[in-house]
Amino acid sequence: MPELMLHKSLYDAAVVHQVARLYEGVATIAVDEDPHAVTVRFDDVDPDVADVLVDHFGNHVLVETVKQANAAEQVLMGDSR
Amino acid sequence: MSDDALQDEIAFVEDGRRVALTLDEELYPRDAILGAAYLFVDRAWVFLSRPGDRQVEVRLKPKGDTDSAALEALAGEFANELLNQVLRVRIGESTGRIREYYMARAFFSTTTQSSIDQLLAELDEEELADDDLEISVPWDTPEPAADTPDEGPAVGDEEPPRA
Amino acid sequence: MTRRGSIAVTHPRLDADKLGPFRFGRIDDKVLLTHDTGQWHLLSEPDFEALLAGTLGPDHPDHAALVDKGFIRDGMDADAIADRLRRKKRWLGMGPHLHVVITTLRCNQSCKYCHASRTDMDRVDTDMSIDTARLVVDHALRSPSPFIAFEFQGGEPTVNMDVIRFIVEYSRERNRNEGKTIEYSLVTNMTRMDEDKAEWLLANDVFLCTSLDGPRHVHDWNRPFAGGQGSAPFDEVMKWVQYFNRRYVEMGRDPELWHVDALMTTTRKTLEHWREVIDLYVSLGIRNLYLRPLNPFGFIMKTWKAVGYDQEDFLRFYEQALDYIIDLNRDGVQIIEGTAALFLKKMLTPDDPNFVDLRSPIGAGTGQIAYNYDGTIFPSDEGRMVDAMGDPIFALGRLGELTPDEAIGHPTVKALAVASLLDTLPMCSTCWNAPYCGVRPLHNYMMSGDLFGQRPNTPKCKQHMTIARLLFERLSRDTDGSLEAIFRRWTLERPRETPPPDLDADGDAGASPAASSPASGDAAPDSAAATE
Repeated sequence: MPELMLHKSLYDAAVVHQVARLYEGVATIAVDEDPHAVTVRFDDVDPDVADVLVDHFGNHVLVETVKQANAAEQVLMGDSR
Repeated sequence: MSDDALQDEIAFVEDGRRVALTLDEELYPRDAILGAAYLFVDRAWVFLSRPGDRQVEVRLKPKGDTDSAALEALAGEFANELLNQVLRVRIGESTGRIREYYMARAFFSTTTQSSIDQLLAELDEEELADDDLEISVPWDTPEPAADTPDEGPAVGDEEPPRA
Repeated sequence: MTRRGSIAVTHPRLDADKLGPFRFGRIDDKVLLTHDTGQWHLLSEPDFEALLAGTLGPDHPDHAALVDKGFIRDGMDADAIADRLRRKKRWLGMGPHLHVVITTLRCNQSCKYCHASRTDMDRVDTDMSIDTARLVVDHALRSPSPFIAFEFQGGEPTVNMDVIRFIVEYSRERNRNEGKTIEYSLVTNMTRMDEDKAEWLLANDVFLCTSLDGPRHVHDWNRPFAGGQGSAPFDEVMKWVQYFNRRYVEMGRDPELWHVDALMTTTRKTLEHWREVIDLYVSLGIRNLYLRPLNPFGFIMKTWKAVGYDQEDFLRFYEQALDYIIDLNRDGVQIIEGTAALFLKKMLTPDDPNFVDLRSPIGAGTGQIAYNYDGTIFPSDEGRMVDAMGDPIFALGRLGELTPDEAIGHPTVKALAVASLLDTLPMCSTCWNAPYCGVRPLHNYMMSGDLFGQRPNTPKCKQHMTIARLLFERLSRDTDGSLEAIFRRWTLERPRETPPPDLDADGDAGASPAASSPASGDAAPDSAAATE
């Protein structure tokens, strides 16, 4: 079964959990955390999306992580770029 | 303070399906990597990992062509965008408070800075206090800063991408 | 099999403490710098490197301009920049000026792309009542905005002409005490028009905007009558555009200011016949042509396969059409492309057109309110369109129950503002196009179920980037200033009553220095009818 390990210094762990919930309809998703990484395991994947699920999931988590980081930055210091 | 021009080589590896670039976080801050990665989600499936301390691997799996030339071109485009993002981060860090000043002045009736002159004076003071380049460190100090990037001559044969 | 390689890169020398805040991107072989104020500057790559290194000194011909625009820190007047920024965003806090009224959902046409989710002509239950119309006026006139634009939409709004008449007359009566500037516009397919309605609309200064998708074979294919009636919608549009334009002249109105506006919606059929579309508009004396792409609302979600197209096809069409329109201008024809003109106003003037769909934050709820026939309030007509598709998520409340303050402060309005504030959005916050752009949270919602969307995957992002890039590329190549003169003319607006004194009889300030500060500051904001 496919597995994705997302390093916490690069991905927002809370976002991984949120995105995992969005994909519950197409797979059974288990999310485990250790101090450094979040591991996402996909089981019972809907065959219609099996080829693309992990890729979509990865981009989705990345996009949401960047969104969170951007928003947090604006709150703290205003957009300076 | 001025950072001198710096040559770097970004290593990549491609396997006919995807290309992975390994980046030194000293040269490419996390925000710059994330910013560049975000811009590629229309063209590629993007995955980030940490192969080593202060290293980030960016793996790009194109949604379109995946031949060798296309993968190398994609890596080159990513490197170019990364340079742009590094510039944006650095300019942003230096100019953020000026931007806050004129935004506050434009949209709020009161502002914490009484004048731009005062703000610029504060920025000058901070600049001296930060001393990122360790100007105040005597030249004969034996141990260089551990995180100083290697500025050695690592120029490859290829034409450098547009910065 | 794996292959290893490396990419040589050069990090430019950077003295960031000598710079002001700016965004940058590449246009042709130049670097485009843009500022929050909308000011911009094109530099060669070597000059950009000198700017970054802090070595572009006062002896450089661009130095003074770069200081003035805030790109170089030494000598920058941050207070003047704050003043420019305040002027650019003068609409912040002014409240909704655009009030879209859905007088009915009934419509006698069955357009292949209908965004409005029409109902059949026997569905009188989808007509707005006079009581509801009264509440619309009461709500709208409580907006803090000194300028109020009522825009009648549908369905086909003239099917419920009584409500249009009532709103115009009642709001004029109420405004005796309010003292606001009120305008009225009607977005009509013209097929229900008659002389009685026409003369009343003329007498009451209701601006007319019609849908005209191109020559007969395009228009009638896109917009057939419901039930396959025999007569041609195209003929009705022609007849009434000419009627109104003739009557304006007979009434002594300046035809440059008083004429029927028209909107075009681009379908696959349009792409094949783009030149004919433009020629038709020119022949009718229509001066403002919006090349609008299809939007993800209403029936189009079911008919996309028949009338839709790839994004790249639309953008190619847009570029061809824009260049043709520019060529016509060079030959003395006065016609502008509406979306380009909106961008140009932001790029070339110290003001902002306050177009509710192209600003940061978006005007949904804070610049615009839409009132459905049944008295439901939405932050925008697009919110109403989503509701018509069975998703009530954007409904704010009901007239008579929700106060204007509650509507503006509604959590949904706040969410839309947050989702469209470019300074907080990844990619947008650093994008060179940010001073000119605006995102569409409702489009994102329709495309991805998320108000924010993924910017690189968002069609509107690509459209706006392309349009701005096309304009900057053409300005970059404009060595004799002739194109800038045309573009500046596109940015001019003047009130319909009295032209400002610095314009000549043609309203053409050309490329004169006076035109560098076009007098658009007091002009009425654009209508939402031209929504891309």
